[in-house]
Amino acid sequence: MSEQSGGIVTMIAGAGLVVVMVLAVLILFSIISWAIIAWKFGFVRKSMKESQDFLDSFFDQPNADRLFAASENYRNGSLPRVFRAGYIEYSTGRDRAVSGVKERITLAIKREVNAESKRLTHMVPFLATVGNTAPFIGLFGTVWGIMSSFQNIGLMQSASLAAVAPGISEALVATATGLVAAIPAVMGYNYLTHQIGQIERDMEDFAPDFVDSLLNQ
Amino acid sequence: MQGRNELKQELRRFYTWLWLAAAAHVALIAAVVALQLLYVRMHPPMKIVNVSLVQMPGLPGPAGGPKSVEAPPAAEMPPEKAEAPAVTKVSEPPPQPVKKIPEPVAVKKIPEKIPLKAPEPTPKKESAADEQKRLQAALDQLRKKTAAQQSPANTATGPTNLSSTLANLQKKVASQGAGTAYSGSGSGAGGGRYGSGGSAFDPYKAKIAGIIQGNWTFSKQMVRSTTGMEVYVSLLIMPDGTVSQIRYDKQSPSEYLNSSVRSALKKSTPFPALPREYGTKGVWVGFVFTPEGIGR
Repeated sequence: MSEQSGGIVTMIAGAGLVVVMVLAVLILFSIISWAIIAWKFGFVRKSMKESQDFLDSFFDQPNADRLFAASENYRNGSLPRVFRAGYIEYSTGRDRAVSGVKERITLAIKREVNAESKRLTHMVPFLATVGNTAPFIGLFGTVWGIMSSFQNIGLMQSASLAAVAPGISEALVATATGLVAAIPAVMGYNYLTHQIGQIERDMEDFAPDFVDSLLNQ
Repeated sequence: MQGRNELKQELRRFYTWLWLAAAAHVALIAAVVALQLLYVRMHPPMKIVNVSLVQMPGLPGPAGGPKSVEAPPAAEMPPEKAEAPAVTKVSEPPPQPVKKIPEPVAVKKIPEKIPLKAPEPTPKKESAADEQKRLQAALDQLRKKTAAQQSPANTATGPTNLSSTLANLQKKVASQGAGTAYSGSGSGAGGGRYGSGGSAFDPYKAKIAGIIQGNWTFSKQMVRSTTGMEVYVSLLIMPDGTVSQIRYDKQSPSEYLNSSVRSALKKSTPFPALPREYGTKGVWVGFVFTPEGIGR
Protein backbone atom coordinates (compact mmCIF):
# COMPACT_ATOMS: atom_id res chain seq x y z
CA MET A 1 0.00 0.00 0.00
CA SER A 2 2.82 2.34 0.85
CA GLU A 3 4.37 1.56 -2.50
CA GLN A 4 1.23 2.60 -4.26
CA SER A 5 1.00 5.86 -2.42
CA GLY A 6 4.69 6.65 -2.75
CA GLY A 7 4.54 6.33 -6.49
CA ILE A 8 7.50 7.31 -8.60
CA VAL A 9 9.62 8.60 -5.70
CA THR A 10 9.39 5.26 -3.89
CA MET A 11 10.22 3.43 -7.09
CA ILE A 12 13.34 5.52 -7.70
CA ALA A 13 14.36 5.25 -4.05
CA GLY A 14 14.09 1.48 -4.28
CA ALA A 15 16.09 1.25 -7.49
CA GLY A 16 19.72 0.11 -7.59
CA LEU A 17 22.80 2.29 -8.01
CA VAL A 18 23.19 1.59 -11.72
CA VAL A 19 19.56 2.43 -12.44
CA VAL A 20 19.87 5.66 -10.45
CA MET A 21 23.01 6.60 -12.39
CA VAL A 22 21.28 5.88 -15.67
CA LEU A 23 18.39 8.06 -14.58
CA ALA A 24 20.78 10.86 -13.63
CA VAL A 25 22.52 10.69 -17.03
CA LEU A 26 19.20 10.72 -18.84
CA ILE A 27 17.91 13.69 -16.86
CA LEU A 28 21.16 15.55 -17.61
CA PHE A 29 20.76 14.73 -21.30
CA SER A 30 17.21 15.94 -21.18
CA ILE A 31 18.17 19.23 -19.50
CA ILE A 32 20.89 19.93 -22.08
CA SER A 33 18.56 18.98 -24.92
CA TRP A 34 15.86 21.33 -23.73
CA ALA A 35 18.40 24.13 -23.33
CA ILE A 36 19.75 23.58 -26.85
CA ILE A 37 16.26 23.44 -28.33
CA ALA A 38 15.20 26.66 -26.61
CA TRP A 39 18.44 28.45 -27.42
CA LYS A 40 18.56 27.36 -31.05
CA PHE A 41 14.89 27.98 -31.57
CA GLY A 42 15.33 31.66 -30.70
CA PHE A 43 18.58 31.83 -32.62
CA VAL A 44 17.19 30.40 -35.85
CA ARG A 45 13.99 32.36 -35.64
CA LYS A 46 15.84 35.65 -35.20
CA SER A 47 18.22 34.78 -38.03
CA MET A 48 15.36 34.01 -40.40
CA LYS A 49 13.43 37.13 -39.50
CA GLU A 50 16.42 39.45 -39.90
CA SER A 51 17.41 37.75 -43.16
CA GLN A 52 13.92 38.33 -44.50
CA ASP A 53 13.99 42.01 -43.48
CA PHE A 54 17.42 42.45 -45.03
CA LEU A 55 16.26 40.87 -48.29
CA ASP A 56 13.41 43.39 -48.43
CA SER A 57 15.97 46.19 -48.07
CA PHE A 58 18.24 44.53 -50.62
CA PHE A 59 15.55 44.55 -53.30
CA ASP A 60 14.47 48.09 -52.42
CA GLN A 61 17.94 49.68 -52.40
CA PRO A 62 20.39 48.97 -55.20
CA ASN A 63 23.11 51.03 -53.53
CA ALA A 64 25.65 48.72 -51.79
CA ASP A 65 26.91 51.34 -49.37
CA ARG A 66 23.43 52.09 -48.07
CA LEU A 67 22.70 48.40 -47.96
CA PHE A 68 25.78 47.88 -45.84
CA ALA A 69 24.63 50.61 -43.49
CA ALA A 70 21.21 48.93 -43.28
CA SER A 71 22.77 45.53 -42.63
CA GLU A 72 24.25 46.89 -39.38
CA ASN A 73 20.73 46.72 -37.93
CA TYR A 74 20.54 42.98 -38.68
CA ARG A 75 23.59 41.63 -36.85
CA ASN A 76 22.01 38.23 -36.06
CA GLY A 77 20.71 37.50 -39.54
CA SER A 78 22.68 35.07 -41.68
CA LEU A 79 22.14 36.81 -45.05
CA PRO A 80 23.17 40.29 -43.78
CA ARG A 81 26.32 38.72 -42.30
CA VAL A 82 27.20 37.11 -45.62
CA PHE A 83 26.56 40.38 -47.44
CA ARG A 84 28.72 42.29 -44.96
CA ALA A 85 31.62 39.87 -45.45
CA GLY A 86 31.39 40.37 -49.23
CA TYR A 87 31.12 44.14 -48.91
CA ILE A 88 34.19 44.35 -46.63
CA GLU A 89 36.20 42.37 -49.17
CA TYR A 90 34.87 44.55 -52.02
CA SER A 91 35.70 47.82 -50.24
CA THR A 92 39.22 46.60 -49.41
CA GLY A 93 39.86 45.72 -53.07
CA ARG A 94 38.31 48.96 -54.26
CA ASP A 95 40.62 51.00 -52.01
CA ARG A 96 43.76 49.12 -53.09
CA ALA A 97 42.65 48.65 -56.70
CA VAL A 98 43.67 44.99 -56.71
CA SER A 99 42.88 42.62 -59.56
CA GLY A 100 40.52 39.61 -59.38
CA VAL A 101 37.95 41.37 -57.23
CA LYS A 102 35.15 39.05 -58.22
CA GLU A 103 37.05 35.93 -57.16
CA ARG A 104 38.04 37.52 -53.88
CA ILE A 105 34.47 38.58 -53.10
CA THR A 106 33.13 35.14 -54.06
CA LEU A 107 35.70 33.48 -51.83
CA ALA A 108 34.92 35.79 -48.90
CA ILE A 109 31.19 35.15 -49.28
CA LYS A 110 31.76 31.37 -49.46
CA ARG A 111 33.88 31.50 -46.34
CA GLU A 112 31.18 33.41 -44.49
CA VAL A 113 28.47 31.00 -45.66
CA ASN A 114 30.49 28.13 -44.21
CA ALA A 115 31.09 30.00 -40.97
CA GLU A 116 27.41 30.82 -40.72
CA SER A 117 26.42 27.20 -41.31
CA LYS A 118 28.79 26.15 -38.56
CA ARG A 119 27.36 28.76 -36.22
CA LEU A 120 23.79 27.68 -36.95
CA THR A 121 24.40 23.95 -36.52
CA HIS A 122 26.53 24.35 -33.38
CA MET A 123 25.33 21.84 -30.69
CA VAL A 124 22.43 20.64 -32.83
CA PRO A 125 24.00 17.18 -33.41
CA PHE A 126 23.82 16.66 -29.65
CA LEU A 127 20.05 16.47 -30.04
CA ALA A 128 20.47 13.68 -32.58
CA THR A 129 22.80 11.88 -30.19
CA VAL A 130 20.28 12.13 -27.35
CA GLY A 131 17.44 11.09 -29.63
CA ASN A 132 19.32 8.02 -30.73
CA THR A 133 21.01 6.91 -27.55
CA ALA A 134 18.65 7.88 -24.72
CA PRO A 135 16.20 4.99 -25.32
CA PHE A 136 19.10 2.54 -25.37
CA ILE A 137 20.58 3.99 -22.20
CA GLY A 138 17.15 3.69 -20.59
CA LEU A 139 16.88 0.13 -21.85
CA PHE A 140 20.25 -0.64 -20.34
CA GLY A 141 18.99 0.64 -16.98
CA THR A 142 15.88 -1.51 -17.31
CA VAL A 143 17.82 -4.63 -18.21
CA TRP A 144 20.18 -4.05 -15.30
CA GLY A 145 17.28 -3.42 -12.93
CA ILE A 146 15.46 -6.56 -14.02
CA MET A 147 18.68 -8.53 -13.73
CA SER A 148 19.21 -7.49 -10.11
CA SER A 149 15.52 -7.91 -9.38
CA PHE A 150 15.68 -11.53 -10.57
CA GLN A 151 18.75 -12.00 -8.45
CA ASN A 152 16.80 -10.77 -5.42
CA ILE A 153 13.94 -13.10 -6.28
CA GLY A 154 16.41 -15.97 -6.29
CA LEU A 155 17.73 -14.93 -2.90
CA MET A 156 14.23 -14.59 -1.48
CA GLN A 157 13.34 -17.99 -2.90
CA SER A 158 9.94 -16.70 -3.77
CA ALA A 159 8.38 -16.10 -7.15
CA SER A 160 5.31 -14.34 -5.85
CA LEU A 161 3.95 -11.28 -7.61
CA ALA A 162 4.90 -9.18 -4.60
CA ALA A 163 8.53 -10.21 -5.02
CA VAL A 164 8.71 -9.84 -8.81
CA ALA A 165 6.64 -6.76 -9.61
CA PRO A 166 8.36 -3.94 -7.66
CA GLY A 167 11.80 -4.66 -9.12
CA ILE A 168 10.47 -4.73 -12.67
CA SER A 169 8.45 -1.55 -12.24
CA GLU A 170 11.50 0.21 -10.78
CA ALA A 171 13.56 -0.93 -13.71
CA LEU A 172 10.98 0.24 -16.24
CA VAL A 173 11.28 3.81 -14.93
CA ALA A 174 14.64 3.95 -16.72
CA THR A 175 13.08 3.14 -20.11
CA ALA A 176 10.36 5.70 -19.52
CA THR A 177 12.93 8.37 -18.65
CA GLY A 178 14.94 7.47 -21.76
CA LEU A 179 11.88 8.01 -23.91
CA VAL A 180 11.04 11.26 -22.13
CA ALA A 181 14.55 12.52 -22.93
CA ALA A 182 14.60 11.21 -26.51
CA ILE A 183 11.21 12.36 -27.80
CA PRO A 184 11.70 16.16 -27.40
CA ALA A 185 15.29 15.82 -28.62
CA VAL A 186 14.21 14.11 -31.85
CA MET A 187 11.40 16.59 -32.40
CA GLY A 188 13.71 19.54 -31.78
CA TYR A 189 16.40 18.09 -34.01
CA ASN A 190 14.01 17.61 -36.91
CA TYR A 191 12.61 21.13 -36.58
CA LEU A 192 16.01 22.80 -36.28
CA THR A 193 17.66 20.89 -39.13
CA HIS A 194 14.75 21.81 -41.37
CA GLN A 195 14.99 25.51 -40.48
CA ILE A 196 18.79 25.59 -40.71
CA GLY A 197 18.62 23.83 -44.08
CA GLN A 198 16.29 26.55 -45.33
CA ILE A 199 18.68 29.33 -44.20
CA GLU A 200 21.62 27.53 -45.84
CA ARG A 201 19.72 27.24 -49.09
CA ASP A 202 18.91 30.96 -48.95
CA MET A 203 22.58 31.78 -48.43
CA GLU A 204 23.60 29.57 -51.36
CA ASP A 205 20.94 31.17 -53.58
CA PHE A 206 21.70 34.79 -52.76
CA ALA A 207 25.51 34.62 -52.67
CA PRO A 208 25.85 35.23 -56.48
CA ASP A 209 23.31 38.06 -56.28
CA PHE A 210 25.36 39.74 -53.58
CA VAL A 211 28.53 39.45 -55.69
CA ASP A 212 26.75 40.94 -58.70
CA SER A 213 25.27 43.79 -56.71
CA LEU A 214 28.70 44.70 -55.33
CA LEU A 215 30.43 44.50 -58.73
CA ASN A 216 27.73 46.58 -60.44
CA GLN A 217 28.40 49.55 -58.15
CA MET B 1 37.37 40.52 -31.45
CA GLN B 2 33.77 41.10 -32.46
CA GLY B 3 33.40 37.44 -33.29
CA ARG B 4 34.73 36.42 -29.86
CA ASN B 5 32.36 38.76 -28.12
CA GLU B 6 29.46 37.37 -30.09
CA LEU B 7 30.50 33.84 -29.20
CA LYS B 8 30.73 34.71 -25.51
CA GLN B 9 27.34 36.37 -25.64
CA GLU B 10 25.85 33.31 -27.32
CA LEU B 11 27.38 30.99 -24.75
CA ARG B 12 26.03 33.16 -21.97
CA ARG B 13 22.59 32.85 -23.52
CA PHE B 14 23.02 29.10 -23.73
CA TYR B 15 23.93 28.87 -20.04
CA THR B 16 20.86 30.92 -19.18
CA TRP B 17 18.74 28.47 -21.12
CA LEU B 18 20.52 25.61 -19.41
CA TRP B 19 19.55 26.91 -15.97
CA LEU B 20 16.03 27.51 -17.15
CA ALA B 21 15.82 23.97 -18.51
CA ALA B 22 17.10 22.57 -15.21
CA ALA B 23 14.50 24.60 -13.34
CA ALA B 24 11.80 23.39 -15.72
CA HIS B 25 12.85 19.78 -15.10
CA VAL B 26 12.76 20.25 -11.34
CA ALA B 27 9.33 21.85 -11.62
CA LEU B 28 8.09 19.04 -13.87
CA ILE B 29 9.30 16.31 -11.53
CA ALA B 30 7.81 18.12 -8.55
CA ALA B 31 4.51 18.47 -10.41
CA VAL B 32 4.44 14.76 -11.26
CA VAL B 33 5.11 13.79 -7.64
CA ALA B 34 2.54 16.28 -6.34
CA LEU B 35 -0.08 15.08 -8.80
CA GLN B 36 0.55 11.49 -7.83
CA LEU B 37 0.19 12.27 -4.14
CA LEU B 38 -2.97 14.25 -4.87
CA TYR B 39 -4.37 11.34 -6.87
CA VAL B 40 -3.66 8.93 -4.02
CA ARG B 41 -5.39 11.28 -1.59
CA MET B 42 -8.41 11.66 -3.83
CA HIS B 43 -8.62 7.92 -4.57
CA PRO B 44 -7.63 6.17 -1.34
CA PRO B 45 -6.48 2.57 -1.86
CA MET B 46 -8.94 -0.25 -1.28
CA LYS B 47 -9.15 -2.09 1.99
CA ILE B 48 -8.02 -5.34 0.43
CA VAL B 49 -4.29 -5.22 0.95
CA ASN B 50 -2.44 -8.38 0.03
CA VAL B 51 -3.32 -10.93 -2.60
CA SER B 52 -0.90 -13.77 -2.44
CA LEU B 53 -1.56 -16.19 -5.26
CA VAL B 54 1.23 -18.59 -4.52
CA GLN B 55 2.11 -18.60 -0.87
CA MET B 56 0.36 -18.60 2.43
CA PRO B 57 2.76 -16.65 4.58
CA GLY B 58 0.73 -16.85 7.77
CA LEU B 59 1.02 -20.60 7.98
CA PRO B 60 4.50 -21.90 8.72
CA GLY B 61 5.81 -25.27 7.74
CA PRO B 62 4.72 -27.63 5.01
CA ALA B 63 1.10 -27.38 6.09
CA GLY B 64 1.05 -23.78 4.94
CA GLY B 65 1.33 -24.59 1.26
CA PRO B 66 -1.71 -25.25 -0.82
CA LYS B 67 -0.28 -28.57 -1.92
CA SER B 68 -1.11 -30.10 1.44
CA VAL B 69 -4.75 -29.56 0.67
CA GLU B 70 -4.74 -32.20 -2.02
CA ALA B 71 -6.51 -35.47 -1.57
CA PRO B 72 -3.55 -37.72 -0.64
CA PRO B 73 -2.99 -36.26 2.85
CA ALA B 74 -6.66 -36.62 3.55
CA ALA B 75 -6.55 -40.19 2.36
CA GLU B 76 -3.51 -40.89 4.52
CA MET B 77 -5.13 -39.57 7.65
CA PRO B 78 -7.91 -42.13 8.17
CA PRO B 79 -5.61 -45.15 8.70
CA GLU B 80 -3.78 -43.26 11.47
CA LYS B 81 -7.01 -42.28 13.08
CA ALA B 82 -8.49 -45.69 12.69
CA GLU B 83 -5.82 -47.37 14.82
CA ALA B 84 -6.26 -45.93 18.27
CA PRO B 85 -8.32 -42.75 18.59
CA ALA B 86 -11.07 -43.98 16.32
CA VAL B 87 -13.71 -43.46 18.94
CA THR B 88 -12.81 -39.88 19.65
CA LYS B 89 -12.59 -39.02 15.98
CA VAL B 90 -15.99 -40.47 15.26
CA SER B 91 -17.52 -38.09 17.71
CA GLU B 92 -15.87 -35.09 16.06
CA PRO B 93 -17.26 -34.99 12.53
CA PRO B 94 -20.96 -34.94 13.30
CA PRO B 95 -21.20 -31.57 15.06
CA GLN B 96 -20.08 -29.61 12.04
CA PRO B 97 -22.42 -30.94 9.40
CA VAL B 98 -25.29 -30.99 11.83
CA LYS B 99 -24.87 -27.36 12.71
CA LYS B 100 -24.20 -26.20 9.20
CA ILE B 101 -27.19 -27.74 7.52
CA PRO B 102 -29.89 -25.92 9.45
CA GLU B 103 -28.64 -22.55 8.27
CA PRO B 104 -31.31 -20.81 6.26
CA VAL B 105 -29.20 -20.02 3.21
CA ALA B 106 -27.56 -23.38 2.95
CA VAL B 107 -30.96 -24.91 2.36
CA LYS B 108 -31.11 -23.10 -0.97
CA LYS B 109 -27.92 -24.70 -2.14
CA ILE B 110 -28.87 -28.26 -1.26
CA PRO B 111 -30.58 -29.01 -4.57
CA GLU B 112 -27.46 -27.87 -6.42
CA LYS B 113 -25.15 -29.96 -4.34
CA ILE B 114 -26.87 -33.27 -4.91
CA PRO B 115 -25.85 -34.08 -8.49
CA LEU B 116 -22.22 -33.11 -8.06
CA LYS B 117 -21.65 -34.91 -4.82
CA ALA B 118 -23.10 -38.15 -6.03
CA PRO B 119 -19.97 -39.37 -7.91
CA GLU B 120 -17.58 -38.41 -5.12
CA PRO B 121 -18.54 -40.90 -2.43
CA THR B 122 -17.51 -43.94 -4.49
CA PRO B 123 -13.75 -43.55 -4.04
CA LYS B 124 -14.26 -42.84 -0.33
CA LYS B 125 -16.28 -46.00 0.19
CA GLU B 126 -13.47 -48.06 -1.22
CA SER B 127 -10.98 -46.57 1.22
CA ALA B 128 -12.10 -48.12 4.52
CA ALA B 129 -14.92 -50.02 6.07
CA ASP B 130 -14.43 -48.12 9.28
CA GLU B 131 -15.45 -45.00 7.57
CA GLN B 132 -18.77 -46.57 6.70
CA LYS B 133 -19.36 -47.32 10.35
CA ARG B 134 -18.48 -43.82 11.32
CA LEU B 135 -20.72 -42.46 8.67
CA GLN B 136 -23.61 -44.60 9.85
CA ALA B 137 -23.13 -43.40 13.40
CA ALA B 138 -22.92 -39.84 12.23
CA LEU B 139 -25.97 -40.36 10.07
CA ASP B 140 -27.97 -41.57 13.04
CA GLN B 141 -27.09 -38.48 14.94
CA LEU B 142 -27.87 -36.38 11.97
CA ARG B 143 -31.28 -37.95 11.59
CA LYS B 144 -32.12 -37.33 15.22
CA LYS B 145 -31.13 -33.71 15.07
CA THR B 146 -32.65 -32.88 11.73
CA ALA B 147 -35.84 -34.88 12.25
CA ALA B 148 -37.48 -31.97 13.99
CA GLN B 149 -36.73 -29.63 11.12
CA GLN B 150 -37.71 -31.88 8.28
CA SER B 151 -41.11 -31.19 6.77
CA PRO B 152 -43.57 -33.94 5.85
CA ALA B 153 -42.77 -33.36 2.21
CA ASN B 154 -39.17 -34.10 2.85
CA THR B 155 -39.93 -37.28 4.72
CA ALA B 156 -41.99 -38.44 1.80
CA THR B 157 -38.94 -38.43 -0.42
CA GLY B 158 -36.99 -40.20 2.26
CA PRO B 159 -34.68 -42.55 0.34
CA THR B 160 -33.36 -39.89 -2.04
CA ASN B 161 -32.79 -37.42 0.76
CA LEU B 162 -31.08 -40.07 2.79
CA SER B 163 -28.63 -40.91 0.04
CA SER B 164 -27.94 -37.28 -0.64
CA THR B 165 -27.40 -36.61 3.05
CA LEU B 166 -25.08 -39.60 3.20
CA ALA B 167 -23.10 -38.22 0.25
CA ASN B 168 -23.07 -34.84 1.90
CA LEU B 169 -21.80 -36.32 5.11
CA GLN B 170 -19.06 -38.22 3.35
CA LYS B 171 -18.03 -35.05 1.61
CA LYS B 172 -17.88 -33.23 4.94
CA VAL B 173 -15.76 -35.96 6.50
CA ALA B 174 -13.39 -35.81 3.54
CA SER B 175 -13.23 -32.04 3.61
CA GLN B 176 -12.62 -32.10 7.36
CA GLY B 177 -9.66 -34.39 6.82
CA ALA B 178 -8.27 -32.06 4.18
CA GLY B 179 -8.97 -29.09 6.39
CA THR B 180 -6.98 -30.57 9.22
CA ALA B 181 -4.03 -31.08 6.90
CA TYR B 182 -4.27 -27.58 5.55
CA SER B 183 -4.59 -25.82 8.85
CA GLY B 184 -1.55 -27.65 10.17
CA SER B 185 0.27 -25.69 12.83
CA GLY B 186 -1.38 -22.43 11.92
CA SER B 187 -0.77 -19.81 14.55
CA GLY B 188 -2.45 -16.53 15.40
CA ALA B 189 -5.68 -15.52 16.98
CA GLY B 190 -7.75 -17.88 14.97
CA GLY B 191 -5.50 -20.91 15.01
CA GLY B 192 -5.77 -22.89 11.80
CA ARG B 193 -7.65 -21.02 9.11
CA TYR B 194 -9.06 -23.85 7.06
CA GLY B 195 -11.11 -26.53 8.67
CA SER B 196 -11.90 -26.70 12.33
CA GLY B 197 -9.03 -29.12 12.83
CA GLY B 198 -10.71 -30.94 15.64
CA SER B 199 -11.72 -27.82 17.52
CA ALA B 200 -15.23 -27.24 18.77
CA PHE B 201 -17.97 -26.00 16.48
CA ASP B 202 -17.86 -22.25 16.18
CA PRO B 203 -21.25 -20.57 15.79
CA TYR B 204 -19.73 -17.25 14.71
CA LYS B 205 -17.80 -18.83 11.85
CA ALA B 206 -20.89 -20.75 10.84
CA LYS B 207 -22.82 -17.51 10.86
CA ILE B 208 -20.44 -15.68 8.58
CA ALA B 209 -20.24 -18.75 6.34
CA GLY B 210 -24.01 -18.50 6.04
CA ILE B 211 -23.81 -14.80 5.21
CA ILE B 212 -21.24 -15.39 2.51
CA GLN B 213 -23.21 -18.33 1.15
CA GLY B 214 -26.26 -16.11 0.95
CA ASN B 215 -24.42 -13.48 -1.02
CA TRP B 216 -22.64 -15.96 -3.26
CA THR B 217 -24.20 -16.25 -6.68
CA PHE B 218 -22.59 -19.04 -8.62
CA SER B 219 -23.92 -21.51 -11.11
CA LYS B 220 -21.91 -24.66 -11.52
CA GLN B 221 -23.28 -25.09 -15.04
CA MET B 222 -21.00 -22.25 -16.06
CA VAL B 223 -17.92 -24.29 -15.18
CA ARG B 224 -16.72 -26.98 -17.55
CA SER B 225 -14.98 -29.25 -15.07
CA THR B 226 -14.90 -29.27 -11.30
CA THR B 227 -11.32 -30.51 -10.95
CA GLY B 228 -9.18 -28.04 -9.11
CA MET B 229 -12.10 -25.68 -8.72
CA GLU B 230 -11.22 -24.47 -5.27
CA VAL B 231 -10.64 -20.99 -3.97
CA TYR B 232 -8.91 -20.74 -0.60
CA VAL B 233 -9.57 -17.44 1.09
CA SER B 234 -8.34 -16.22 4.48
CA LEU B 235 -10.07 -13.29 6.13
CA LEU B 236 -8.75 -11.28 9.04
CA ILE B 237 -11.90 -10.23 10.86
CA MET B 238 -11.49 -7.37 13.30
CA PRO B 239 -13.47 -7.15 16.58
CA ASP B 240 -15.99 -4.76 15.03
CA GLY B 241 -16.67 -7.21 12.20
CA THR B 242 -14.77 -5.37 9.48
CA VAL B 243 -12.38 -7.34 7.31
CA SER B 244 -8.94 -5.77 7.37
CA GLN B 245 -7.23 -8.30 5.15
CA ILE B 246 -8.31 -10.77 2.51
CA ARG B 247 -5.85 -13.34 1.24
CA TYR B 248 -6.52 -15.49 -1.76
CA ASP B 249 -4.26 -18.35 -0.88
CA LYS B 250 -5.29 -20.43 -3.82
CA GLN B 251 -7.38 -19.43 -6.79
CA SER B 252 -9.21 -21.72 -9.14
CA PRO B 253 -8.49 -21.88 -12.87
CA SER B 254 -11.97 -20.48 -13.49
CA GLU B 255 -12.07 -16.71 -13.40
CA TYR B 256 -15.83 -16.94 -13.06
CA LEU B 257 -15.53 -18.78 -9.75
CA ASN B 258 -12.79 -16.41 -8.55
CA SER B 259 -14.78 -13.29 -9.36
CA SER B 260 -17.97 -14.73 -7.87
CA VAL B 261 -16.07 -15.34 -4.62
CA ARG B 262 -14.66 -11.84 -4.73
CA SER B 263 -18.08 -10.26 -5.20
CA ALA B 264 -19.61 -12.49 -2.51
CA LEU B 265 -16.99 -11.33 -0.02
CA LYS B 266 -17.50 -7.74 -1.06
CA LYS B 267 -21.25 -8.00 -0.53
CA SER B 268 -20.91 -9.83 2.78
CA THR B 269 -18.55 -7.42 4.54
CA PRO B 270 -18.69 -6.04 7.16
CA PHE B 271 -19.61 -9.08 9.22
CA PRO B 272 -21.33 -9.00 12.60
CA ALA B 273 -19.04 -7.93 15.43
CA LEU B 274 -16.78 -10.64 16.85
CA PRO B 275 -17.79 -12.24 20.15
CA ARG B 276 -15.66 -11.12 23.09
CA GLU B 277 -14.01 -14.49 23.46
CA TYR B 278 -11.97 -13.80 20.32
CA GLY B 279 -10.10 -10.95 21.97
CA THR B 280 -9.23 -7.60 20.47
CA LYS B 281 -6.68 -8.56 17.86
CA GLY B 282 -9.12 -10.00 15.38
CA VAL B 283 -9.26 -13.51 14.04
CA TRP B 284 -8.22 -15.27 10.85
CA VAL B 285 -10.95 -17.35 9.26
CA GLY B 286 -10.38 -19.51 6.22
CA PHE B 287 -12.97 -20.60 3.66
CA VAL B 288 -12.78 -23.01 0.78
CA PHE B 289 -15.10 -22.15 -2.09
CA THR B 290 -15.91 -25.02 -4.40
CA PRO B 291 -18.68 -25.38 -6.98
CA GLU B 292 -20.42 -27.55 -4.39
CA GLY B 293 -20.47 -24.85 -1.72
CA ILE B 294 -18.43 -23.22 1.01
CA GLY B 295 -16.29 -25.20 3.41
CA ARG B 296 -14.32 -23.99 6.37
